[in-house]
Amino acid sequence: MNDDRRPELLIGYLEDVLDEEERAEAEALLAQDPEAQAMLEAYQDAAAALGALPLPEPPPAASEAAYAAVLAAMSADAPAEDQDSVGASRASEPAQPEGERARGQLIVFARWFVAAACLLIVATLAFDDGGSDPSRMARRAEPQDSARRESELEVPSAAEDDLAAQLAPPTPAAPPSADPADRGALEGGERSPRDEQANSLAQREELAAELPLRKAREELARQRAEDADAFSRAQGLEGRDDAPASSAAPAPQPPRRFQPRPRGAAGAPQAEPRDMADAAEPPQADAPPAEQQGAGAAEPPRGPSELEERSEGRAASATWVVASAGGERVYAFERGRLVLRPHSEEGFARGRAGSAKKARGRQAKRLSQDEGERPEAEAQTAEGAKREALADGIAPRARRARPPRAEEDAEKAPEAESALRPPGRAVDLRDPETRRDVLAIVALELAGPSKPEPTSTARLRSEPAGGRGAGPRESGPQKSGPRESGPRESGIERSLRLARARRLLRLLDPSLKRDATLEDLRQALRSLERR
Amino acid sequence: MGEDQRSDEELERLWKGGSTPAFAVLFERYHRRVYGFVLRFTRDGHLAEDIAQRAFLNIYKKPPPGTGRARFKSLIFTVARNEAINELKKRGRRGDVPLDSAPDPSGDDPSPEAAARKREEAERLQEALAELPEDEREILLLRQVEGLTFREVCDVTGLSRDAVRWRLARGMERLREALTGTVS
Repeated sequence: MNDDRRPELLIGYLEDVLDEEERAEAEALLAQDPEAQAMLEAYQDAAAALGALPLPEPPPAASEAAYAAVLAAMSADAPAEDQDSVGASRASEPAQPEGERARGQLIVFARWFVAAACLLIVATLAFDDGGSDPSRMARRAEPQDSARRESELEVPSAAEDDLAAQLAPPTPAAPPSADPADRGALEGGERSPRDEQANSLAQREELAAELPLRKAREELARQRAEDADAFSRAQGLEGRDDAPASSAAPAPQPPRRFQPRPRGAAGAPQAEPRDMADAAEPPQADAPPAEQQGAGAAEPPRGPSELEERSEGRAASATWVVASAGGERVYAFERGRLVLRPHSEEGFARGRAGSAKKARGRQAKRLSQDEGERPEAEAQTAEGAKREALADGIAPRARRARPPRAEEDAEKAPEAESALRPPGRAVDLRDPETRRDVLAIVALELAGPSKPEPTSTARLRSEPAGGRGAGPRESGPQKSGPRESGPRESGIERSLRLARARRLLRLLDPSLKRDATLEDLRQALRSLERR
Repeated sequence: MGEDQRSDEELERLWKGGSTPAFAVLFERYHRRVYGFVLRFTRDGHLAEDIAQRAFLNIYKKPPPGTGRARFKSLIFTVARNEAINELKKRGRRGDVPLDSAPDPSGDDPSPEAAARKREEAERLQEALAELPEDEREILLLRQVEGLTFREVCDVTGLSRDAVRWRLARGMERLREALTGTVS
């Protein structure tokens, strides 16, 4: 045995930290070596002496100062409540580090924020002008009922006042229920099990995330209905018995895609606004009054500023066909760019017609399912989707079976059309031919329905009503006849037309102001043509 | 049961749950021991006061994560040890234990001779202890004087089990040699 290893072995034996082999070795050493035994005894005595050393007492002033410093730190952190009670109340809680405590406080704040958002949305729905549509009334009544149930549970006297019940601070234990499942149960006069379990944070967050989307969806549908209503009134449908009653019942109506009518009569050449989602520039706000009187004679009794405001942001989308000796060129705005589209007009028209037919079929079918066949429809969704796919000539696996959602379908129908549209290529505005084409288009747009510009229109032809490719294509001055006969132009149409012209001109002359008036646009057009 | 009778583990759990009285109890329980450890380690009374206070404040302001086994004792000695080592590195030398702060080891021994003998043995032991290298002295102080377990010593020093055993053996052997005057 190496002597240098004896202390380590003996200390390990004394501390009982040896493994079996070392322990056997230490015991053999102690049995054979008296000096090792003496060493072990000396170690034991030294350890005992060290353990018996008296604990030094810090100076009283130092101890008091240290304690005061710690107390100061405690008082800086501790709330103004009984510390003993704090300790007792938190005795059963798991220990939390500082970061977790901060996160917990954040979660509490987020819960209150979600509850406040729910309350705000409920109050907004309650005060919203809902019209007379029964389904809308049912939708509006649902959060009130939820709030009333809560108020009845909490403060019975508050149940007499619905408004007070809605504006009462939300209790985290019972937020207003707005879940579709709960809604169905409410409309059926029953409380669903989910309503009973609406206390969980996950549900509250889900509700808070869903409510703004639903609200936005309703607003969008209502706005579309109002736009369509405005057009109907502008076209003389106001007051007729078959006029759309969308303004009376906006929200729960089947979504009506805003379809602007062509400016001219059937067969008249025109630039058809096709995609209203292609937002461009704000409409012109300072148009000459004379043109307003001429073009907007049949306007509904609402201010022109309102109409222009409604058309703001979705003005300048159109397709123009320019005929020349070299053939036809189709210009359009795609995603903010002026593009030159390929000439597969017939194919595109066929594809668009087929897509629209399919979309209408799906929409009608799902609307009928929404009205009364939802349970059966959900059960037959997969089968229906398969039949649809087979009818459309599409492989069944290419479609997803999903619950019927009429609004979503109606939203996607025009998107499907745009998806079928052949992509265009960006035009080169430095090309003289292209510039001439654009100037001709601008001249057409500035001309309006009754006053054709004398410049360049001979080169321009736009498609007939009913879609491109739906009628015979002609070349030559197509604007003159029907437009001069004076089809009335609504304020929205006029704003869209001027916005398209402004947008096209700004492509050629970026210095043109975004709020350029009609006169400015005409001057800019003349200036560009002179160049 | 009074709160001061609770275990370190329970007090630590209460403290991490927000109870400041629990921390006050821990302070009362360990402040003197930490001060003694630092005093014997650094041999500087003022430094020991300062380090002991700083150690508790640091732990209170930055509670350690985790809710496992009781770690307060290991933690407070770790902080105090690291503070002491840093201070010793800054100063470059060890201090001297002031004579007036040396404790009276006689205790309640009624015999004046026995008290004198004990005091003499304690002084020799402390001198021998003070002569040890720092790494060995801290191990002996933690294990033999403060009574930390072998595992707690490993936690405080951050050393492995074998390293602690080796340093403890070396320190004990030096101490034995110093006390008995024999060299193995």
